[in-house]
Amino acid sequence: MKIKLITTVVALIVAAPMTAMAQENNVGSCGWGSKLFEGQQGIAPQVLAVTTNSIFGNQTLGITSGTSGCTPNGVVSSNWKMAMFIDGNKAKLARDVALGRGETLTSLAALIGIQGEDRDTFYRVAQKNFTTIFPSESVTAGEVQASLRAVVANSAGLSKYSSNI
Amino acid sequence: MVFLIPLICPALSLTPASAANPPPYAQQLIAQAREKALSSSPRWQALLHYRSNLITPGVTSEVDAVNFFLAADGKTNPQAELEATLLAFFNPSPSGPGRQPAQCRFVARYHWLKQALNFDPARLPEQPCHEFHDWITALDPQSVTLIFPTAYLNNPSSMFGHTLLRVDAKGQGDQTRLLAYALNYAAVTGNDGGVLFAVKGIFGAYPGVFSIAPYYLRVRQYNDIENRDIWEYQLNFSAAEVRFMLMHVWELRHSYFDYFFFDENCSYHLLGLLDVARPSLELTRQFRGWVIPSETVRALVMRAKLVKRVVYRPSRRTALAYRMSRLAGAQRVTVSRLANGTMTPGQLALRQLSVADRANLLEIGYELLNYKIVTRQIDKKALDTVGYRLLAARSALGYRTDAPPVPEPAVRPDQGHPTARVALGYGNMDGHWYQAIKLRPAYHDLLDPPGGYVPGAQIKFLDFTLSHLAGSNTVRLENAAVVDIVSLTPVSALKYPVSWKINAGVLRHHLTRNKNPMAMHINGGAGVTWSPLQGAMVYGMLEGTLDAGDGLDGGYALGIGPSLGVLADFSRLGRAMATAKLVRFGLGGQYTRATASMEYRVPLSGTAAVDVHFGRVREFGRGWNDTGMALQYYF
Repeated sequence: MKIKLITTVVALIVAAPMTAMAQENNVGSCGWGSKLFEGQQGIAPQVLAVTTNSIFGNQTLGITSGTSGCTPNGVVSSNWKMAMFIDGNKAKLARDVALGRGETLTSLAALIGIQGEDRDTFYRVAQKNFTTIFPSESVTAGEVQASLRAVVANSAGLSKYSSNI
Repeated sequence: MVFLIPLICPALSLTPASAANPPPYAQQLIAQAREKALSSSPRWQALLHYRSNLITPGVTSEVDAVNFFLAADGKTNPQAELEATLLAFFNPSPSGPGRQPAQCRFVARYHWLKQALNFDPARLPEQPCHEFHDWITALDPQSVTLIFPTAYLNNPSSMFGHTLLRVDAKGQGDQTRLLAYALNYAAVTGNDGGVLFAVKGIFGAYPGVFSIAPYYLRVRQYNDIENRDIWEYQLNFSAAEVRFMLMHVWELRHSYFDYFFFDENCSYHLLGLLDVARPSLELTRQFRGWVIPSETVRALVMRAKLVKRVVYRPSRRTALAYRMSRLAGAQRVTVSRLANGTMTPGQLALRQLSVADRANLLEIGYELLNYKIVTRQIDKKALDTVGYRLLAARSALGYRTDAPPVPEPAVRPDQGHPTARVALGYGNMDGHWYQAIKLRPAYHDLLDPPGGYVPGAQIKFLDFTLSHLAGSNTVRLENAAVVDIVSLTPVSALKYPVSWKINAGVLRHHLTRNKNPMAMHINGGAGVTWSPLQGAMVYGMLEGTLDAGDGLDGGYALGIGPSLGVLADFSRLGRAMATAKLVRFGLGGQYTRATASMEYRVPLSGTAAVDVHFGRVREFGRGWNDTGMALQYYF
């Protein structure tokens, strides 16, 4: 009896690291409502993306079934790419814009198609207009995208890029 | 032959090929394939994931979805599968999940067989595969990078790591890596958690599938939310090899493998993909039995010229800890106050600080706030108020400078000591001289060389000792730890984590000098660790212990007590640990056990070390010493 109890406890103990090892790595797909926004312990998402489905809800056997912006094959259709990038990186983008530098900001510039020295101008202009682009931390991705487009359109050297946003 | 006149069908339409009525060209191709023994070629074996059976002759495919095979016995018969595939290429009708013609569904098989057998487009017309073409164009593959997120704080199990592949597009640079796509293999588990998750995962009860997601989502998950450092190993595959590998991923779209934690896990199947890209690698063949992700990374690095370049991507926590360490004490206080809102940016501006310093403090303050929110020390609402104010103030400074580069660890995870260890020991225990052999299949303990591992983290599986006492003519099992995990995580300005340990196994009670019955042993503890200087840790814990065996009143004993330990790192000169522990058993057997020990281990090379230990145990009313040394070898 006691052997059985101890064996069970041992089995549970062995199972625990297995759980830890696999569970946090067990995420899958693309889509707004992704469990990976929640983080490993159900940490509340930094970005308040509207989540309508969990990854396990919409993930069929095989490469992800699509949710908004994602094609059934996991790649993002081009007209959604900008919106999805902004939504997926909203808080980090806010930080990068405020600092005037950062990988997320650079990737956004690449997405917009900003070339050469215009990049530097873009970072500077964005930083200067931080409170316009991000009027509050709880602004939506759509609003960020629209404000960014307006700011870029109003900037002399950058207005040619505004239609890409 | 019956010719169907299509009314609404596509223009090019051959008679549907069937096994009973194969077109002559198909028969010709099949004969050619037989002649060239294509079904036993490494390429075909890799594409179908065939593995040699352990006992019976022949092969079995690891793919478990029936829809992956065109022949009824395709799972075990490579030749039949090849022939059925060739036949299916003649059928342009959409079929199967995804509704595509066979040439598109199995685009990698088609592509390879077309070249190997030199298909004549007049007799076997090529189908347009629009869906596949759109997909591969969006991916725009140029090369592939293995992504390895390492351990996260206070979780030794996560040292095993995880691997996924990133598909790098043409023209992608270091600054735009985020825009790439990441390929991941994982189990579909629904909402299962805990033990059910573990059990089903161990026994292959979940389907495992590949999925693709934008890389920035992975970075957010691993780097930012879980705060794991990421290592990116850029692999030396050509664009054509990567494209072929992705063709195969397309083939796996609607199929699955039974997911087994131990041997067919995330890392194993990624190696399977790399084998498809270049079958001569035979990576999966190296791994039979337990597959540890970090070991698969090591295997890739050890192949000549397979890894082009390694890039270190520190987690947000690592970067924050580094920047904090460079601040003076008073500045650290300022940063903490900015983060918890007791100092506003306006108040900071009143200080006589340069713009650069102000910018630095505001940035670090924001990062600290963000970290505390992610680790649930502060409610996330603070990001909207305090956090936003910090960013707004920072942007108003208009100051721009490069980010301070976080120093890369001297030892990468794939360069750490090998994870299996064997030791030969000699010493004196309770008055008996003994020789011992110790074996530990995995993974890392507190005195092993720390490079490439997480300091203060220990995880051991099936660590056992066989000993031979002088004068005896038998070898006995001295002790065994089925699992032994320790997580010493020092408190810091960032967080006050609870350090903990847990272990289960068997050991010997010394009732008298010659009466050493075996006992089952389970122990767990929680406490706090403090790191007074670099490389040193001091911990205190409260531990609970449950023993079961003969020699105990009622056959078991349950006890509780404190423990104390000091761990010191002398880099090249080794590592040392001193511990003291007291357990008062009150239920079942009633007695007190006190232990004190000191152990010192010095590495001789990357794979060998010398270990000396001294311990004193007092239990059952008597005391005994255990002194010894061992030669250890990692492999």
